[in-house]
Amino acid sequence: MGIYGPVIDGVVIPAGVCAVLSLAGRYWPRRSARPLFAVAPAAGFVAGFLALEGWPGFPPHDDWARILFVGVWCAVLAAVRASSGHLNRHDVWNAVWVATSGAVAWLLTPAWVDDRAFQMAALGASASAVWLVLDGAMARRSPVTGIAIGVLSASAVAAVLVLTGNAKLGLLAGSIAAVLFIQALIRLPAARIGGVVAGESAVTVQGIGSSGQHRGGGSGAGVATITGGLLPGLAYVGHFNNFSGVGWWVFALAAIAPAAAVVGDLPPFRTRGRPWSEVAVRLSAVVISCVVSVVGAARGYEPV
Amino acid sequence: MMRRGIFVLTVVVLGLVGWFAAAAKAETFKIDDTHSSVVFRIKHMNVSYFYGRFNKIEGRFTLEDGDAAGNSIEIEVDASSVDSKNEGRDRHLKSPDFFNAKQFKTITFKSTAIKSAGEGKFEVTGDLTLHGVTKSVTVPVERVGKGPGREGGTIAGFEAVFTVKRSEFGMEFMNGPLGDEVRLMVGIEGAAE
Repeated sequence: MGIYGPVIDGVVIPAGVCAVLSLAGRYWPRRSARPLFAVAPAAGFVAGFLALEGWPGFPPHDDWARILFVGVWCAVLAAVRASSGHLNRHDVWNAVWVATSGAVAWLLTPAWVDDRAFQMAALGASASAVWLVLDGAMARRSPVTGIAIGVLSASAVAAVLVLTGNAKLGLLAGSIAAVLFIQALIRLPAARIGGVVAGESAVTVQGIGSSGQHRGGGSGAGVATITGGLLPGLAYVGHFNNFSGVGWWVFALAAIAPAAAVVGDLPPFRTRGRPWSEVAVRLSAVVISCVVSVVGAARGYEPV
Repeated sequence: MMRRGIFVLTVVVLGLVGWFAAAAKAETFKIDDTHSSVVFRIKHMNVSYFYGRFNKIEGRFTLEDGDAAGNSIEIEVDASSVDSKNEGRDRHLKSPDFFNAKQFKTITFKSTAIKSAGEGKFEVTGDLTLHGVTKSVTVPVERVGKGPGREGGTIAGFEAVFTVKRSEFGMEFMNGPLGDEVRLMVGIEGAAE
């Protein structure tokens, strides 16, 4: 496969797996297939990891490879959430996710890291914040907005990781951008049916964004878990394995960039603004965070 | 009776002198980082060989012709000291893509058996630990020389050239554009302790 091998492993295979599962979840006539749409992004990530790295052993030989098991857990959570129907309560899931964030932080922060407790706390807080903001935003507004936030953030994390000399981790972050982009393409027609892409009614979007009861629904569960669990995880693993001299704030900002969308919840935008302006504010805040982190990483880049 | 006593005493004294001489001869040398090199060679894009090196080397060795079984070699290389003449590439080599040098800080070789293979030549079997994976390898080693150092004391050195497959040590990233086989050229100098 030559030099294209990593691109096939890190982009084509994850996107392919995600596309197949997403289409099956969306168009397969049986209702029981619908959670596949939510599982698709994390499943694509897991497939990309295995193609790129192979089975890392259990426990993994390399500490960073524990991210695979975070991916598997994200897929399980997304599946459970997408199929939980009327039992799907935000407060319960918020608690589940905070606990999951703690577990992710414990799993991905290796014993050899300096200030381990602080790093664990920072990673756990980032994962919680991203999920809470994104899940809330997707429940209220179009899931396409949430997916766009995910694609932007994953691209930024990938760029930060590659610029700081972690190509494999960068490819894995890139695989998240690829799977979310595929889901956006598959999701777009439904978003138009439900209304304006950025301004679907709250009732419709509650269904497709969160509970998974809408046809092909559950994208919210899949996007929020993969963006909340894997992106901060990858960014912090990159920080733990950083030889570039770039400051930790670059990785921390990239990790928490999706949470910048919270500005869309501020009163001036939420209560008085039009739906499109709220979406524009959310995306702008995320883009600014992403650009700042990428520029910060680029300053430490040394061409090979 | 007296003559027999003197004969026995002479034999004992000569034996002791011989033993002490042998013991004195089997000197242990501490590796001199400044005059030692660990260089690697890897194929790049199937068209050329690229050379890099490690800049921090520690360890000890004993290499004598007489008592090869008493010989030993222990080398420890700082994985973060990899030097490929390009800072960006050095960072990449230290990252989890290759050496994963934050987790696996050192590359080590510890001999487990040394056989003589002619004067000044040895067949050294030992455990090579690279990227946290330990494999037994057998390496031909040639003692280059031994003599007085510039600052007094005795110095000695050896050379070893051998090849490993990086995939066997869990370093498979970009296998293809970068060769799997890595030739290691080790030139070591040490000062008697």
